Amino acid sequence: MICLKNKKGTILLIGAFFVLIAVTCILGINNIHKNMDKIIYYQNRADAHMLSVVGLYVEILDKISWINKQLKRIGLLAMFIAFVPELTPLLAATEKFAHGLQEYQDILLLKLTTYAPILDNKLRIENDLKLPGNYHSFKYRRQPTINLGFITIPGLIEIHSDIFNTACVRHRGLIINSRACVDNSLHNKEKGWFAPVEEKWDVLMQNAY
Amino acid sequence: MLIELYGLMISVLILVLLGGTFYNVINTRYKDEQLLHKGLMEYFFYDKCSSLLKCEADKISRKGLYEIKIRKSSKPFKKKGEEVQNEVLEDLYRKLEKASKGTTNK
Repeated sequence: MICLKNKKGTILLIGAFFVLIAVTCILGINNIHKNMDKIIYYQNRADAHMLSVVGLYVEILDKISWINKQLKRIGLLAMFIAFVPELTPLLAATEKFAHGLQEYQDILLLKLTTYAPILDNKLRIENDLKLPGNYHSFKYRRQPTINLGFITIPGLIEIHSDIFNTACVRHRGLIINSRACVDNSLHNKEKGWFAPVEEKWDVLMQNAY
Repeated sequence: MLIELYGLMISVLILVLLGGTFYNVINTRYKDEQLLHKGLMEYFFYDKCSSLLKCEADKISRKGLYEIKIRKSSKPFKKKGEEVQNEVLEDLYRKLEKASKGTTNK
């Protein structure tokens, strides 16, 4: 009788042990998947945030470069117009157009300096990214106005090379570190100030995923 | 004795089935997350949107999953880290090739 009871107990004990192993294995695998899921969940929101903010920089810098290009063209066009007496009435319109472009450029610069930090914080809140904010520093200056006598043309906007270091959004301190920065293939980054005239701004993204 | 064994077997079966279901749910979600990540990159870098995703100017979402708030740029981006690395390597190879030709000419 005792022997039978012992046998029954052993079988139950072995059975319980296998149940424990099976449950532990299942829970372990599930836990790994759940954590991987959490990582990608965070990565998705972090990448979306980075690309959105840097994308705003790229979009506005492209427009600023385009206006710089047009201002350069207007300068050349004005000189041509000045030498053709029949076209001289167009000078006033050309000047107004150039000043209109300058004002648009100023609005774009204002949008970039004010909206970029707002967008950054907005997306952090909306995507529930609990991380400290980025430092948005955008240095720019306008070249002196060119006075040709018959027309004044606004100077081009110059951007400091710092932009390649500061117009970056990073997500650090987690398993996956991500980083996205603005990039311009035409620019020599060793130069200090530069006036871009080509819409060659792009996003350079680096992450471990 | 038999009753206990049956009980044990049933409890094991239930646990395994529950675990399997749980695994399936998590695995589906994990695949969805991966799909969303791929879709997000494609949307920003190539302006493409997978049929399994819903892409808008201010958000990107997957059915049954959460949505991510974004601000879509007017133009798709071109460069990714690996692409830049390839460009740098290609440039280096070109320079090496040029240099090696120079030495053989001498």
